[in-house]
Amino acid sequence: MSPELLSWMSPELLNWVVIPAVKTAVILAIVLTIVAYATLLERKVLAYIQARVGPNRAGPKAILQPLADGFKLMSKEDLVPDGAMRFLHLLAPILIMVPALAIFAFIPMGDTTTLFGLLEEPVPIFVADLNVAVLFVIGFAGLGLYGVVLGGWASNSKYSLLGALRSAAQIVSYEVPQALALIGVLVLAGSMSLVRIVEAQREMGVWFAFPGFLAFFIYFVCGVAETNRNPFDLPECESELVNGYFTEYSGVKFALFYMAEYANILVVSCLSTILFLGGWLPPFPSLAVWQHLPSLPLFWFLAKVFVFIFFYIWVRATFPRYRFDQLMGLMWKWMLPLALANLILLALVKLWLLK
Amino acid sequence: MKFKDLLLVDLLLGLWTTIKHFPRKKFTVQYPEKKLAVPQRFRGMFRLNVNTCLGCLMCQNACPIDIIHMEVHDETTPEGKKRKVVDRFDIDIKRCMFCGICESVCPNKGKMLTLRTGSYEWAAYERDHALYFDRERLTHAVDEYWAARGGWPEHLRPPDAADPCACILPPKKEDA
Repeated sequence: MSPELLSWMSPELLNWVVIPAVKTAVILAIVLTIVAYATLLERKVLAYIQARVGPNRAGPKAILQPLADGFKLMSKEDLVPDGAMRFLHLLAPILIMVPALAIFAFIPMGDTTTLFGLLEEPVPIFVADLNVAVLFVIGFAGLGLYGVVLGGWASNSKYSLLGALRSAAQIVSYEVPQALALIGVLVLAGSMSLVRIVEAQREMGVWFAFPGFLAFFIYFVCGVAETNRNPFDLPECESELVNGYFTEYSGVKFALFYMAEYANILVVSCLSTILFLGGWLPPFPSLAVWQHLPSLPLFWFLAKVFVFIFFYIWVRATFPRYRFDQLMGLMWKWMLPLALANLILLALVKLWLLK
Repeated sequence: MKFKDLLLVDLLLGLWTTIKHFPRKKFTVQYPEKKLAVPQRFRGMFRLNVNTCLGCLMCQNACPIDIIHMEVHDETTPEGKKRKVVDRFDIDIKRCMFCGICESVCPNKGKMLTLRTGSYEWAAYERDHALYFDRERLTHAVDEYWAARGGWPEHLRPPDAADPCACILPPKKEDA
């Protein structure tokens, strides 16, 4: 961006409105593309694991499949069941989608970029570096529950209601160990800013997944519960509750629920990457080799996220569903003590090993 | 609770089992582009050659659900021989279970009424085209089916498939 081109704008306008707006648009585009193609990836990987071929008709290698799905859902009739609360029924998919996307404002996909030398000054690859980003992320992830519960309640359907109730039971059980696992990372990094957490991993020369492998495990298991995925997909479980809280949705609203699920997967994958796998850092960031190679922040970040998404799908193809008393038992009786023990362990690690 | 359970060995074994299938060869046949060759015993649509039919009504009587409807009349050929001419030979395909008894009782086996035509793509846009086959359609349909697909496969070709007489029907009584 040459200065002459943008000289008519005041620096305040540029820095506070234009650049954030452009970044938001770019990140939103990236996120929604990944979300759309995560659906295709899921279908393909599941099919391959089940010795099928999977979708392969829409375009070469089915690359147009997400578009075709989108057009199909958009052209469908928007059904509202009898006796449903129309306003809440409309509000629920919005309430679940907006927090899922809002979190991406604080997810750093890399430190800075000059767009291959296009820009004069390096621009950070994130919209905002909030000093309490971790709190914000936990809070917004919890907000997604409103969409689930309201959607289940407003649909006037017993399946939806049961799904919503299960979701409420689920969130109270997974959020505590999940937050405790995150506190362990905060202790290690000494900051709540996601950018600072990655920087701390660079300075210590080790991914937090190594000292904090327990926290990593707990966070991932709770993340699976957070995104309502197998083996903790009790709120939707298609074999018992049809589709749980979004049984009564169709058309664009259904698409929003569906995309929100994948957006949440992406959120958890991104956070696991940032908190435990060093974000945009290459593996073993303290090795001397990386000094001589070009740093590819976006590549490392997306590669790790992809591994997580793949693992999500792999887990879905493998494990049967937990009953919800089993889930609560697992979270309260195993994950919570484990998370507390892990917190103490990480505090000691921080105290003695990583100064 | 054993120590082994704490290490989640079973979960890892489960993951290993599923991922083993990931690179496996897929058995799916991409149907409209690729088609499976049916085995020789496969019972497809009927093919009828009325010219070799003796008019003995064996198939009509053998049919367990009475869906073969035949009408025959006697005729004397110019050489003075008596023969039966088939005026009507209808099969109510929508009720047929392809048991093959009609074919197996036919004294002119393999030449007159054939089920082993290897044909299976009989979806139709007209209701009548898939439900009820009369003498003309029984005679022509399978030949046209294979003509549209580049000729009969060798292992299924009936002996009279090249015979042009197969497609010329004797006149019915009311026509004569």
